[in-house]
Amino acid sequence: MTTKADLLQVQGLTKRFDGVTAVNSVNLEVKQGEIVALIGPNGAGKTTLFGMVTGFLKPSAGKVYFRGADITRMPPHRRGLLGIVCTFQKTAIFPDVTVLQAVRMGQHRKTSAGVVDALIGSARHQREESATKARAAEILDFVGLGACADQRAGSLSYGQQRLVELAIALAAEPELLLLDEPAAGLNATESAELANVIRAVRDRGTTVFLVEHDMSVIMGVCDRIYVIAFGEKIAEGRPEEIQKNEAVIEAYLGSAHVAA
Amino acid sequence: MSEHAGVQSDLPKPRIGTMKAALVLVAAAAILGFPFAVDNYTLHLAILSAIAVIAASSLNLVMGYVGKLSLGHAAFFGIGAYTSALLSVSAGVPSWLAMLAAAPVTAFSALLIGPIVLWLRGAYFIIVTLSFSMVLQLVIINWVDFTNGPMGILGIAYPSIGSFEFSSKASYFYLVAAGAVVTIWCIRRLMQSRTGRAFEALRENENVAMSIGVSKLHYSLLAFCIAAGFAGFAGALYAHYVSVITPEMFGFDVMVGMLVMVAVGGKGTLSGPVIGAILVTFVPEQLRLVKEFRLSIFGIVLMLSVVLMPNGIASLGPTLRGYWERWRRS
Amino acid sequence: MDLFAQLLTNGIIIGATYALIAIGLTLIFGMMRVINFAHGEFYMLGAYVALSAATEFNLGYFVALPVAVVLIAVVGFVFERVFLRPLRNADILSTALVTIGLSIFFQNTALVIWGPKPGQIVDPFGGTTVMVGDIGVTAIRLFALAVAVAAMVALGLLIKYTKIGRMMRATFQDRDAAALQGIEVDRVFSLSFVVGVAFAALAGALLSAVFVVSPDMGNMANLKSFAVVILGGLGNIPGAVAGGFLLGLAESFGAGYISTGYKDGISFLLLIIVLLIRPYGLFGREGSEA
Repeated sequence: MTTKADLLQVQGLTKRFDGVTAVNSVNLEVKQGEIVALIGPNGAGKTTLFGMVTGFLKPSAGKVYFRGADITRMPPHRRGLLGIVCTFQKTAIFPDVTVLQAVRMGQHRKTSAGVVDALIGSARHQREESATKARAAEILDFVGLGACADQRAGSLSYGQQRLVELAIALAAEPELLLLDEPAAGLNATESAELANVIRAVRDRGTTVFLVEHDMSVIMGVCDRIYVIAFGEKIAEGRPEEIQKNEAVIEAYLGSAHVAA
Repeated sequence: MSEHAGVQSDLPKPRIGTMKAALVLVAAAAILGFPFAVDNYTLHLAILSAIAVIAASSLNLVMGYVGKLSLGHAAFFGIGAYTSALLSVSAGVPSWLAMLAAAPVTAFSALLIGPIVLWLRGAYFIIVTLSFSMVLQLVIINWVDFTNGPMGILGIAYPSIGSFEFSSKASYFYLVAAGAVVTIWCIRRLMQSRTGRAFEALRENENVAMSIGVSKLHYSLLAFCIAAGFAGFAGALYAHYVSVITPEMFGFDVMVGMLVMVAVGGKGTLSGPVIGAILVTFVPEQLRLVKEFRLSIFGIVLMLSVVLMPNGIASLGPTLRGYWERWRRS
Repeated sequence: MDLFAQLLTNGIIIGATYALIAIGLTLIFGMMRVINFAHGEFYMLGAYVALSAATEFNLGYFVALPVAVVLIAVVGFVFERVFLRPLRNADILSTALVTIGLSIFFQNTALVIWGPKPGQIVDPFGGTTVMVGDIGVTAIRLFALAVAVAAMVALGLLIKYTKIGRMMRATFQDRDAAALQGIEVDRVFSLSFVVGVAFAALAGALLSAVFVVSPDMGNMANLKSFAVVILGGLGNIPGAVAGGFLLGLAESFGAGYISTGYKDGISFLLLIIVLLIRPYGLFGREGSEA
């Protein structure tokens, strides 16, 4: 019980598009309780790899395991039900409902009232209705959006919308939280706040795997980092090791993209 | 109190209770007294409106709450009408039983069609649902042995409970009004629940909805079938009121009517389809002088409302209230 | 063998007109992500304007053709500017509703203006039949085929070799990137819409001497062009051409060998079968839909 088990395991994951190999036989693991990042220059294949882990892209080869079970061909909603929840890069994700309502939506997998329950107003339905409301309020306070609960989600600022997105994912009580560039477009203050939230989320028992560009967020928060370039894994290790890794520096400078 | 099904009120409980009770009483009194306060023709239109409310609300479930534009929805209205009509005229089933059967049968047909169309995205879904209803109309017209083809079905009887027959306009009005109230009550209950939130999640963002565990196929099929059931119910009510139905019901005219009701009234709200249904039923009658231009005007109204009032008339309330609040605060 | 050849010829000719209409529809969708539900009505109006121009205004068939196309193109331009441009960033449901509104408006207004009685332009070739091998084809149909093919070729050349074509291709790939490159995306959209409906109008005008013209002829045209566009893949112009011919042939052989009653249902049947096997159409690709 002292060794951390592999929550997520990716073996030989490959994706080919029309003759271009976007991801070439990548292996990686994320252990329970870790915060692991996947970084790499633009076009390295991070998004493609992420898509295969979230289930929105079918791999050309390779396998994805969750708690030892093969989920390679599992559709996204089944992964969600297992507790693998992801966020997306686009904002305004549930734009036309209130923030509170959006976070209540996130609690879908942990509630069970059905159509009949709703129509007859069963005890389960009533219990869940007040429970989801209370829990949504609690999560919003946790991410610092308590005051915005009744606002239309689409009307919030960019940084706030990303937090709503995170809140929705948290509402699902994920085992494994997959974040797709959560710091994109955030300013320094917002990024620091994000880092705090990610740490707090891990402390509450969720494992986090994120794809990111923003070095400041990654360095401060991650246990381990994988670096991918041109579809292949070129390095893995602790943040301090990666920072000094020649191949990594080369990959970033070589593609004329300088990490922030 | 907001019209949007998803927004909860902040008023303390006792006041809601009293306000609600008062409103319900007033509404009930209005409905009960209505047939005696108006002339026969208006009553006729009111009956059609109530049926339209049910049909439009059902379309709203798919269009406004799940966010898919199903251009085949009129087909469900037609299936319900034909099911009830065929059962009562050809199979001799008592009207009230035939009418009750219409909804489940229509919902079942949606269960068969759903898996074929619901996984299609965006444009594909819209086009295929349209094609589907056109083909269904073709089948109904050509399968003369079963459906009597273009001649339609005649002599559909009024329903009766015991010895009481719903043959007077007033009694039929109560029947359809009750139907409309039940429909809206069900949809409201549904939307303020976990299921309703799953529907809206699919509308807002399919990918995010899936990633939090909402099965797109399961929930869109569920909404599709429930909506079909209500549309079929409306169709049956219509069939037993007008007593003659033809394959025209499956046509684009009916679909357009429903679309305009939901789009102009306000999709994604409870009151939108009601407002739309009443407007679309009553207003064209006021324009009787320009009867031949009726559809042309529909077309223009639809175009203008999409561009100028994308969330329909029902959204004007909250919008105006928003302006009012902001003006008050400044 | 004779029957087969006859059906084949018919199928090709009908297919060419389907292709013509479908190209317009798929061009509009591919560029603007708008499903033009009024597309069949533009076809119908092309036919009616040609009919009126040829008979009431005595311009004759051959002059009526360009007149109809130009007039309908103008109408299309006005509609696009007034109703579609404000919806530039709206979702597909909104643009669908707006074109549905246009379709209702056109159909009913045509009914009011021209009445429900079908009309037809008298065959300008006087019913001359041309013999292609053993098969007889009316000259008017051959003419329609020739013009349709010429229009398709012209569009292809425009897109491939002209500056405007390059702008269209760039916008088609990625409208945001195109805007960043300085391309006036709004203008490209307007042009695409106008060309799209002009093609539909051309088809209608060409066929106004072949088939009867009635206010509801747009409905079938809509359904069939939708089927073709989905078969070929939304936004895929060569796919629309292929799909058009495929449908034309399928209908011709279906009507000839199986039954004429359900002929119009063939398009839908084909659609369902293809979508079940290849969800993005015969030539479509993942991500090409809205």
